[in-house]
Amino acid sequence: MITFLFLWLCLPLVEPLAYPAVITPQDPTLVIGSSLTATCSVNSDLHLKAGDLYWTLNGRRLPPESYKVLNGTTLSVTLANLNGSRQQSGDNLVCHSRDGSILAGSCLYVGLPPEKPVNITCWSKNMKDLTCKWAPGTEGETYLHTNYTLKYKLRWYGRDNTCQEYRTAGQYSCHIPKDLALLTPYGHARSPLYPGPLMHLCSVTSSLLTVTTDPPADVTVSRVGDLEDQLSGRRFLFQAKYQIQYRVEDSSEWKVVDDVGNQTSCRLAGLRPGTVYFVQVRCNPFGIYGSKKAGIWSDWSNPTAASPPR
Amino acid sequence: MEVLRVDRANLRPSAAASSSAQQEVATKIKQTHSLTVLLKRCSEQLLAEYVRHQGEPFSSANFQPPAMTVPGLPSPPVSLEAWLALSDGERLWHLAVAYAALPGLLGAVQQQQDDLNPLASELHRQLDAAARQCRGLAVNLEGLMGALGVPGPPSPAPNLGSPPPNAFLAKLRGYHVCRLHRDWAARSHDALVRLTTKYPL
Repeated sequence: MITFLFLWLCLPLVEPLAYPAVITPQDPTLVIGSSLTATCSVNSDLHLKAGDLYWTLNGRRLPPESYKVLNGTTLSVTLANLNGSRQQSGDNLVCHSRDGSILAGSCLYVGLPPEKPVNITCWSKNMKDLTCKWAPGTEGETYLHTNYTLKYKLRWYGRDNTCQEYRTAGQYSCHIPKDLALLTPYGHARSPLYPGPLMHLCSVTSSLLTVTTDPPADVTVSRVGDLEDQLSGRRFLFQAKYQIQYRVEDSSEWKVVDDVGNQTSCRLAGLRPGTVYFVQVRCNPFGIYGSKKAGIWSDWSNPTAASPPR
Repeated sequence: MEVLRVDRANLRPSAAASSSAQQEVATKIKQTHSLTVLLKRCSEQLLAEYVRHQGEPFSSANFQPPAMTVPGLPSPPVSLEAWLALSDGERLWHLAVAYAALPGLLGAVQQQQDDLNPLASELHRQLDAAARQCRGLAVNLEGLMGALGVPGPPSPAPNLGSPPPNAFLAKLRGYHVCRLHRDWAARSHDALVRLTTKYPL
């Protein structure tokens, strides 16, 4: 404990100047690979000359060849081909006096501008409201925080609305609590935090009514009458077309039945008696609000097992 | 219940004091001491976590920050010898001043780190915990000083100063707050250890 308390004796007792030096630019945002020239101007009260100064970036001393004395109290440094920021709080570009003490600092935010979000998909469980999800365009390589804005409008009215409830279904999602009638969701990505060359808007528009549904529930598979080699499946859903896939228990190869149409029951024929089969169903809504466009296939339902009687 | 008569200079209860009052004081001291043990450990961890997220030179072992006065919180104001020469009551008084200011200062650091390091959830958790622990210690100190008959300091006017004008100064201010938090935690632990030996349970 005694050694611990001795630390206090080492605290500097001198009252510091409020701002011994000023660095320009302060807290810039920059693109990876670009160059930067920064200047450090010392307070004339300090009686320090530009030649007494040096620079470090993230603790590493920068080479004197990159310095330039601009006047008696100002030293510049040029950084070329900047790497992406090492930490989210910014790279520390620091101006020191000859004895190593820190005079001023500026935090550099070096990254990549955001890319357009992709794979915008929306779904609704009740045809009254909508949840949309998207994937970010860029992967990694930038600490710069990206704001996403989802906008939507009624197809025929053209007035923009902005989605307010973000992150309802994961980080890249938004919930639109309105009647569905012919909404066209589209998204913006914007990189904010510090205004600068990276702040620009990009937009990507999704197509109308790319809707899907939850997978069918209550898929039941039952044996049919006396026929030895048939299974029936029943599903409940409205206005959708269906696909069935089935496989034998000990095989990983699914057989797909494509032409199920909009029937909610289907007979699977040509099956081996006494063999356990797994059956799954998925659906694709169509004809919503008169649209002729197909939706997206839902996920497969949970597999249901059954076997035709021997 | 008999009133505890206290010699202010030495805080030794008079012979007429009831032992139950002494027990109460000893219990409060023990509780407060436990809190200072926690604070001492957590404040070390907080400083390490903080500098990790600010990058070099903050995170380097021989970091020499420019001195900065943190508004509302004096650096532990006296030398080691002078601190040890203070009375228990005076030490508690200085601690009460510090812990009245620390929660607000840690809160301000948390706000700045929301901007600088929004994804550093562990740092945010620790800053939040630190502010809560400081508030807890402030309450404990108030109770303890009341039991010992030591008058507390006046409530400080909230004085956080103006927000730092740029990111580097924000990092620096946060560093000083976290380091002072650690230093005051060590001091409070020292003061309470002395009191536990004087008022054993």
